[in-house]
Amino acid sequence: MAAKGVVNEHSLVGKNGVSTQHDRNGLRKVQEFCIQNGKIQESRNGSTHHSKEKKRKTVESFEQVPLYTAVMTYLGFYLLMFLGWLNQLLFTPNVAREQNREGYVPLYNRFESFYLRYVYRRVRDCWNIPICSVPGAEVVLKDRITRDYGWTFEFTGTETKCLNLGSYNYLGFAETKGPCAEESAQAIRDFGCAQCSPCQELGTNPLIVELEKLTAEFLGVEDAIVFGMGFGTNALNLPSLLGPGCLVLSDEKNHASLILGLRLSGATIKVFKHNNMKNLEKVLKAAIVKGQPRSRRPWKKILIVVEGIYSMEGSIVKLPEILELKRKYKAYLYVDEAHCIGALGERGRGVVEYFGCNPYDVDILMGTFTKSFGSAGGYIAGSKKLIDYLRINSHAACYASAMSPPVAQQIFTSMSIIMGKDGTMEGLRRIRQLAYNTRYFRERLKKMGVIIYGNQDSPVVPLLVYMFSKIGAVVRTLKQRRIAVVGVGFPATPLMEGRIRICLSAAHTKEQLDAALETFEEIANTLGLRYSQQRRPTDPVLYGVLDKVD
Amino acid sequence: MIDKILKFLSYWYLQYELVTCLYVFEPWEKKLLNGIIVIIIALVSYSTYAYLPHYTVSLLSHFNLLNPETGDYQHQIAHVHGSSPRAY
Repeated sequence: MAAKGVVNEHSLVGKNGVSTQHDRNGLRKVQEFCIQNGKIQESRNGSTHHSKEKKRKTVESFEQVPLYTAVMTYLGFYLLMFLGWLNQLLFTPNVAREQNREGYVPLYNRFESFYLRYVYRRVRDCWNIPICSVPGAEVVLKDRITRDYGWTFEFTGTETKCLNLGSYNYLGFAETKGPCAEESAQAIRDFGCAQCSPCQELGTNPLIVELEKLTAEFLGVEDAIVFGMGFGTNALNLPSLLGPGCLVLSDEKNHASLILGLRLSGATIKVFKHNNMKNLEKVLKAAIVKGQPRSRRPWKKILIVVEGIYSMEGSIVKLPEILELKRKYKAYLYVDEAHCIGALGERGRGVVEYFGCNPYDVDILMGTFTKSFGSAGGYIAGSKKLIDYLRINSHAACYASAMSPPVAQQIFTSMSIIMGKDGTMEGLRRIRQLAYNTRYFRERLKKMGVIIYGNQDSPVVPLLVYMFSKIGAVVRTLKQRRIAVVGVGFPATPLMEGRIRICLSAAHTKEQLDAALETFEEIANTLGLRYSQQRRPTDPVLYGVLDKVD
Repeated sequence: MIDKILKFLSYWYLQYELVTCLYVFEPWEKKLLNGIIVIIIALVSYSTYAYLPHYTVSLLSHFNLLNPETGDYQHQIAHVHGSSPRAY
């Protein structure tokens, strides 16, 4: 310890939260450290979060469609409608017909059934493809052919193993082997397959209680409640938080579950332009000034509903600006972190950690376990008061069946791995790999000259193809080349913006991504996908570099 | 050589099919639409071949843009006065 009269300083670094002693020239300094995933974080006021928000430079791109492409897309749709009308006139569709219904009002919406039968049906083989294996980095698709252009399908009996760029498997926890799978199988032996009861009756078991505690610790808030279904979490909890007389500001591109929940609640909904803070402020101001619809009274509650990562755009919400607005106008904030929990941030804690904000500032944190944890279900996290209220008043807690034990155990194990509680660096490795994969893939695609939307850090990459026929062509050609992707068209996206959505994963290796990118390069040539009119970056793309090296 | 031409043509035919959404149609619909387009192109080319030269000449002369060549000039005056060359 002492050598030649000089006292060496040494630090004893212990386990989480244990204070260490720092000897320096006789002065003892006691500091508390918290070690998780090998990263040492200072603890301040009992919480291990930086209260200073990082100034993050958002690099987002939403390039405009070239005019020629827009015109031809519309013309293509007109042609489709014309031929659909011709088909409808000349041939009877190959669908079930109702008997003895003369004079009755048709059961289905006319335009929807027309679109389904004469537009969607033509490329229907690109969707609903059955899979025969776990959707990890590679997935096995069951082949099927159609002899009558999409009305019926037959299985050929063969299966194709493809690189999986379509599943929400951000951290690669969709595996059949490994600690998660083993512990989930053990949970079935311990607790059975189903709870057979809602949470408020006989549905809570020790697994769910532990999971809720772990979720709250993961997010850095007081308490959390979990539900069996992610969509149901949104749709069934918003009605219990809001009612008529409340004001909701919801982003243009919010998910269907949020829209359903908001409509069910009966609150007044005002929509603001996607990720546009000026428009949000304008709409908020106007709505507050006007008051409730007929009585002009002040609103009972104001809630801003946004998502962390928008899955169709790949854009990340501007959280610091929204928090400022929220404080200024005394509104509550609801962030749906379905796609970013586990995928964003240095330790995978979602969009709040990505921006360095305090999770106590966001009033209601919602997320799903489907994407990064390889499981199913959703959670809501926040202050204990909020969660106690939801435990009693939420429709999902009262009527929906509780989360099944193996599902809960899978989430518990994967979350412990991400947090580093299993003692390995596996969680951090997965988060880093996802970050490297995301940057690398996006940079390479931009270099190729295709238009991709979204923030450079979002693992959801929408590749714009615009035309309806190209969605079908790209998905089919990629499937032939052993890559499975998801094509998205109208009504999920605007009419003119057909896209191919690629979801990256920590399970993908650089070699797999390189092979996929080569295929994309060939397809961009043969099918004509290079729409970008901006200058293409010429510097070589490095793997494993997260910040631009000057 | 023939291979190259065929490859070139098939590439451009695929692009044409993708852009006009013909790629997703059934064969009889493709034949119908291609047939309509071919008929329109045929009609336009026939009428171009048959009527365009005469129309161009009369349009240019209406705007007095033609050179004063012998036959055309007479034709031009007659046209301007709205009467045949024999009138005077």
